[in-house]
Amino acid sequence: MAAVAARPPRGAPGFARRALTSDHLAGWLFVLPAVFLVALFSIFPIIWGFILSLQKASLISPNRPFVGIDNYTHIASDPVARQAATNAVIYTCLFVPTSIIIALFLAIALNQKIRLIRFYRLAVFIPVAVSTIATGVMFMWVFDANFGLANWALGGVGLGPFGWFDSPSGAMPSLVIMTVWGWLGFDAIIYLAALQGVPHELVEAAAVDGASRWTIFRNVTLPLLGPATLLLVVWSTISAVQLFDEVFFITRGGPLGHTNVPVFYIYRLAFTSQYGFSAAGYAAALAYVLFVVILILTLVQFWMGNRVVHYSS
Amino acid sequence: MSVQPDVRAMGAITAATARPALPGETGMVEKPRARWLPFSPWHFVLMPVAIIMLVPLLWVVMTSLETLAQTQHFPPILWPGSFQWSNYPRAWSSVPFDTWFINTIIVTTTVVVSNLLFCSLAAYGFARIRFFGKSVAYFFLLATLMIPVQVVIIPTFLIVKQMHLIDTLGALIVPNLANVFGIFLLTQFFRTLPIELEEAARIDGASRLKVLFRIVLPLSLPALATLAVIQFLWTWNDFLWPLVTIYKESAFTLQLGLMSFQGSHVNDTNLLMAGNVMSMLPMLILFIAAQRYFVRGIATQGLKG
Amino acid sequence: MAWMVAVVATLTMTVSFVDRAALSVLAVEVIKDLGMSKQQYGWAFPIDGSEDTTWHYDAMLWEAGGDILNADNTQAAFNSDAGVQALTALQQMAVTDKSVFLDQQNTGKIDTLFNSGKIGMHVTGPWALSGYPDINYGVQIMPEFPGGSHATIAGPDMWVMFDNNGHGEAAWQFMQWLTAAEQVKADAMESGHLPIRNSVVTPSFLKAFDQKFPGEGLFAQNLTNVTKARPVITSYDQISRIMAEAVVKVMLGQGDPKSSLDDAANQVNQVLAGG
Repeated sequence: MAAVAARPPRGAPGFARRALTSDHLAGWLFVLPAVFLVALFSIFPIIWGFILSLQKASLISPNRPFVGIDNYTHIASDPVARQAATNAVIYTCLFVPTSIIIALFLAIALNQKIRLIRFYRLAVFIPVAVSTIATGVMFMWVFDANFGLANWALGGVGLGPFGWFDSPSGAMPSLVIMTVWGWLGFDAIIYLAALQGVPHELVEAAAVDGASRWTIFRNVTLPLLGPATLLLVVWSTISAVQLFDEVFFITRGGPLGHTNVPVFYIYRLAFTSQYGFSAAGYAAALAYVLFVVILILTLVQFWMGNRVVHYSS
Repeated sequence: MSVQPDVRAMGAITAATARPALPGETGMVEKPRARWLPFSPWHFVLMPVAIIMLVPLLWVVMTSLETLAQTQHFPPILWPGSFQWSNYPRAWSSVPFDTWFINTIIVTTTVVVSNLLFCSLAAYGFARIRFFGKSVAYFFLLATLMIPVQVVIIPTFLIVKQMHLIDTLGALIVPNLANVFGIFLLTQFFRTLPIELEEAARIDGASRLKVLFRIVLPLSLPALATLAVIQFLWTWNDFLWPLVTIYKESAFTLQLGLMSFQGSHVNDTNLLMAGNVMSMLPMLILFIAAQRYFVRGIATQGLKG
Repeated sequence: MAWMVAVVATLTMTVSFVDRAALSVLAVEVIKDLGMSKQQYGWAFPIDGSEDTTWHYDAMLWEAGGDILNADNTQAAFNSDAGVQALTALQQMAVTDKSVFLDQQNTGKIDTLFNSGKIGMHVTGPWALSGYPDINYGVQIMPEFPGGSHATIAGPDMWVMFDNNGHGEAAWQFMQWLTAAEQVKADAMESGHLPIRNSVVTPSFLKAFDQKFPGEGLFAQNLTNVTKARPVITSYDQISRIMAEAVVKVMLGQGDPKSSLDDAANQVNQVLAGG
């Protein structure tokens, strides 16, 4: 492959000759390993996943009869699927705005040139490095109903002991608090970088014109944060809809299914026997529907975003 | 198969919301410091925030140094009189932490190294070589960034099962050898390098491979470091994929092991927290040491076109 | 593995359990007697929705005289009066009296709480005895409902022989050897597993067994009360999940026994019909 490139002179005859030049060969040889791996482990599975969704499939037996669109029609009458969808909506509506708004405030604060700013930034960013399981162990202890810090602190201001993860109504908010803690840093980094990208000239010009700090923020900075906000909204939504680790580890979809989210349901269908041994095809169908929903949501968000977001040239 | 919905999406989003990052200072007007306080009032906001963010971590560390009786005390003991450092070796030896650490290190380093290699090769091809079908291939790669995890997890499991890799570390390594995010990141970066150096080398007769390894990569250390630390973080913290492919304890990664440790030691809270700290420590240290690269990696996704 | 009630011996337990009502009263009494605060309970129950939940309920279902499925495993039978009676007893203790510690995670917290004196009674098996080093306790068999029995639940592990590699005959021979009385007895004496053959449970065996594994003698003796087993069908995992969900719902005060069990029975019937 160490051939020296020799491009054919202009006007060289023959498509075949050009196609066989080392440029095309070289190009493909460079990208082939990665492209092959991605094709095998991303593109091929997405096609096979669709085929699976049309079968009554099990992960342990090679016998997978086709059942047409039965899996898809079953979704409509499945109360658990409906519950999972509802929970996904609740979680997303709680998680996305909370994490983004708090992150914006944090980023503004972290953008200040004050002492200890490096310490503050580290404190906000560092939860990003903690794994979902480690975060889970941490918060199960903080939220422990009998010995945890949270109930003790709340008791100090007169608020009753909460059940947190053990309470049917409190489990979802507890998940939100825990995951917001974990992802604030990520959002804040994005906003911080965006804030630092606001052209100083614009801000100064507005100040010279006599605008107050708040007006400057609202009319200059905030619009310029549009792309970052759009990015975070889209990313957070996609991420929220795919919540799994924390649900599996802590609540197992409970109590009473209040935290049963789509990917957890799909996992149980395909990888456990709790819904029989041949539910992998149905799980694949659910996964595809979820995929389409995510796609539509993303497109809608982009479309709406592009109408609102202001791009500087 | 790494579960990285955030970055897969981000890659595609980046392309769509491209806006060059302009150098600039804060997005706020800076006033002279108020003179009636010796420090900025922002500390009143940031200090509580920092404390809130760090309290769970600190509490875990404190608990890990208490005796069992102290952990079962309510109100919680915020500062144990003496530290039970022995909790750490006890936690370490009560379950195969050493095996789990080694497994995780093997998987993570292999995946990082292979990503650096394959993504560099591919990125160079996409950035510098014109070849037939390039845009189509690139488009398909970017499209995979939009695929959410649950769609591919079942078929990928079946593929890995066909390869007889279930319950081996291979199941964690092979599907992750080349990550589209890495290809994307490096392609973008390579394109920003001045091409003259490479052209000069080629005119001198160097092969493309040599150009990549002798010229392009040395100039790309920041991007490579960014890719390495981000990939390291994901692979180290990955949970769902190891969960469905690894079942025997001797092949557990640290995350699976931590889950198993919690199951068997939920009532030994002090040991459990010690185990938790040990599992978090490598990534915390890496993050603090390479903070710059993490921040850059996350920020560039959002802003660079 | 028989189920028993391990009791805190600091209480003067002269009451011989006659009926479930007595257990309920006892649980409340335990709370009153020890002047317990909110953090102490008479009893504990796992509500993680796993087989453990169903398992605990099954014992009470059988004590009340009920069954999980009908004789040919085609219909659910647990929503009978007996089933409702059993679940109502649970509801009363958990929701009305609030004397039951409900464990959502079911990863051993109940054992810790029992070992530290925060729970009065615990329904468990012989494997748990080594986990209570710090407390004085006694072992007793399950109570019965009026007109019911002392039926208890024992759950042997499932052994699976595959038929896809041509060694079926050898596997069968091995299985017959493994389950022969001699091997069962050897395994019991070595590991503390309760024997799976009644023929092994002789008085001399019981004496030696209890000597080597203190407390387990009564468990082995109680094997005579193991009269029913869970259905051995491929859809059992689904049935278990459905029943567990009904039990959890009722014990969290979010449903009443009759309608929850009826609803569960409907779902189980669908599963059994191949749906």
